Amino acid sequence: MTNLLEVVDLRTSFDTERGTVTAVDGASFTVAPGEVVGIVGESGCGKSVTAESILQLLDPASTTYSGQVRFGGEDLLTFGETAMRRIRGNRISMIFQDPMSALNPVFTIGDQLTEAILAHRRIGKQRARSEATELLEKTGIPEPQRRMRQYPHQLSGGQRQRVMIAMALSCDPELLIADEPTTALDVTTQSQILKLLIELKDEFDAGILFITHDLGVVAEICDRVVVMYLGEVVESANVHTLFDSPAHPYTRGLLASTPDIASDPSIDLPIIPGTVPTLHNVPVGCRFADRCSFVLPECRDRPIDLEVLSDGHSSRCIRSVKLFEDSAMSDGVAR
Amino acid sequence: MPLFATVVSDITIVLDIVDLEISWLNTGRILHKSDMCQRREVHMGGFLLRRAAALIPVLIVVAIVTFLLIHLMPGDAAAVMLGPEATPQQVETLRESLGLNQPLYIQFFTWVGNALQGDLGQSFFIGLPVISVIQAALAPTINLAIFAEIFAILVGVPAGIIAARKQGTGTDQAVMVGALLGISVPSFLLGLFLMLIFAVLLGWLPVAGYSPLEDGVFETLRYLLLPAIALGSMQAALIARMTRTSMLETLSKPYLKTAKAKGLSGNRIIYKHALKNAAMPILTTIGQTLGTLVAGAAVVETVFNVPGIGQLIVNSIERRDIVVIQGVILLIAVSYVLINFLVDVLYSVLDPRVRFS
Repeated sequence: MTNLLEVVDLRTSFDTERGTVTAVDGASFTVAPGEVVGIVGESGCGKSVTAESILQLLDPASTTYSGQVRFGGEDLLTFGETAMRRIRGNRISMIFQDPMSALNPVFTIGDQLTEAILAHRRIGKQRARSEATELLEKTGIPEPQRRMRQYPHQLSGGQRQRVMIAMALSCDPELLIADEPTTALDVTTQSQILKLLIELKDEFDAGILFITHDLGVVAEICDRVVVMYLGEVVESANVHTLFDSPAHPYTRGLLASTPDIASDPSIDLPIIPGTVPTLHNVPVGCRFADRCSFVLPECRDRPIDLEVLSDGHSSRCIRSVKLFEDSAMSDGVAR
Repeated sequence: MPLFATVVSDITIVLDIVDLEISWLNTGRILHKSDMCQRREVHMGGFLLRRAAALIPVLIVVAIVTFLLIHLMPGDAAAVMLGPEATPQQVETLRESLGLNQPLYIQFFTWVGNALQGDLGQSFFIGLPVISVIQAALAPTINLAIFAEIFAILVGVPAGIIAARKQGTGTDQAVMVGALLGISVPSFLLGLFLMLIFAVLLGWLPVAGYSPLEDGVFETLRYLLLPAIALGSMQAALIARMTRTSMLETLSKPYLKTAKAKGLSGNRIIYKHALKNAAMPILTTIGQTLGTLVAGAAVVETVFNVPGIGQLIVNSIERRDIVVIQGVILLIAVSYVLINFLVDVLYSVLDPRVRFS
């Protein structure tokens, strides 16, 4: 199966007042057609920047990209603004975290949906509107006719996210990038939206790149997972492998700190000590070393390479093999 | 001239009160989160009616303050109008004809009643009804103000947008320095310079005067171009600054990223999606500056000898023609209120959240 998207050694840097920072540092991963790939990590690990780099949505004045974003046999990073415009919303579309702020408050739902359709297809306005209504219906919004005439503030959070999904699917994209699409929603709405995404993915036969910090969501919908930490991919694996035998201490920490219905409420949930360092002082060696409970002196000496452990499973840790094999150390990351 | 000072401070007081009233009426109106969540649809007609009803108390305050103008002046109004040489008999006759001997509340209701019928009294000096004196002076001022405001919008809004899009670059700095100059250079000075360069040295445009619209629109524009630039440059600067600030705030909004992710062009994102969101503060500035244009017109009309309301005020003050001054102040205050009402209505056209709140 050929891959839909191949991100190779993607590097995204920003010019800031305090110098250049590299928010994504050599990320590589792939998405196959019909596959759901999750990117997980804490806030500030570069997962959103990775997503937006694929479509080059970041401020062009201060952002530099390098590496390759291969899509449909071409490298999107070599594309100019005009060529990118034909990709955005058409072949690759995106859903954002907060559906309230991601919809323009002063235009009706109908206007915004129709505009997305008309941006890429030469059809009449009337036809675009009726297609937009059909799309809304597909997302399960009640009274799609009436919603078309309404403004974003008149809809609930879940309805707004359904509108965003309808908009993203309006031109039958090959790849859908969902940047924390359920984070701003309440739990029952979350699961409805996830279910809808999976249904529509099958109907539209699209690949999904799903960005989240919620491992519960990952377990529910992803086929493969890429774990990011401070701009680097630290582990990437099939979803079952990742949950059953995580190889990187950071992944183990994330898994251990996820609450479980069966866990004893009187025992404190394990946490990963410390916080993510800022991009202005990235450690020389392993970027996770300061927060790692398996750290060795040599971890800090030089950058660690991503090591392939088995087919489709790799980890950026010098102790990967040992940790991977040592199933006895199930959750020894934190106190 | 103490009378001049009194009148000027009176105009300021009236406008301040209008502003105060309006801002009081507006509190808690726009963009309240709780309002935004309400999904009750209110019809546009109902909205307009409610906004219009809110004008009534403002107009009452305007009427009272304008009416009291005559009584707030130091000394007796009739004596002031007639000057030091007048005999007591003359003063008494004038008091009688102005109705100053009647109780205050009767005077007020008579005045309001007449004003509502379009009768603002008789000019003592010109011997004409105040309303026709104002009518004669109104056309040049309205033309000048509209022309100046159009100039200000056409220059200010694009300049602000360009500055915001190129934030931190030389272009941005150039626009900001230009705006600073526009605010700092007084209109009469700018007017004199423009007159010197384009009328006297280059001879492209008439030095001063006015040509009514009936004699051809082009001729009117030729006469009003320099005064309009002199009058409008400060508004242009204010509008440019507000546009830049408002645009900068809007440009970082997530929905613009959505628009970009849809595959829209940069211009469509800026001029459709961003500008409509950034428009409210810009519109407020335009509304406010339109109100102050009339005050500014007094100076510019004097420099360019345009026979408008501004010149009428100055001349009436020199003549101590209080009845005319009163009429003009009422006119300015009422138009200020109406412009603010118009801006309010435009808000609701631009932002659906105002309509539904």
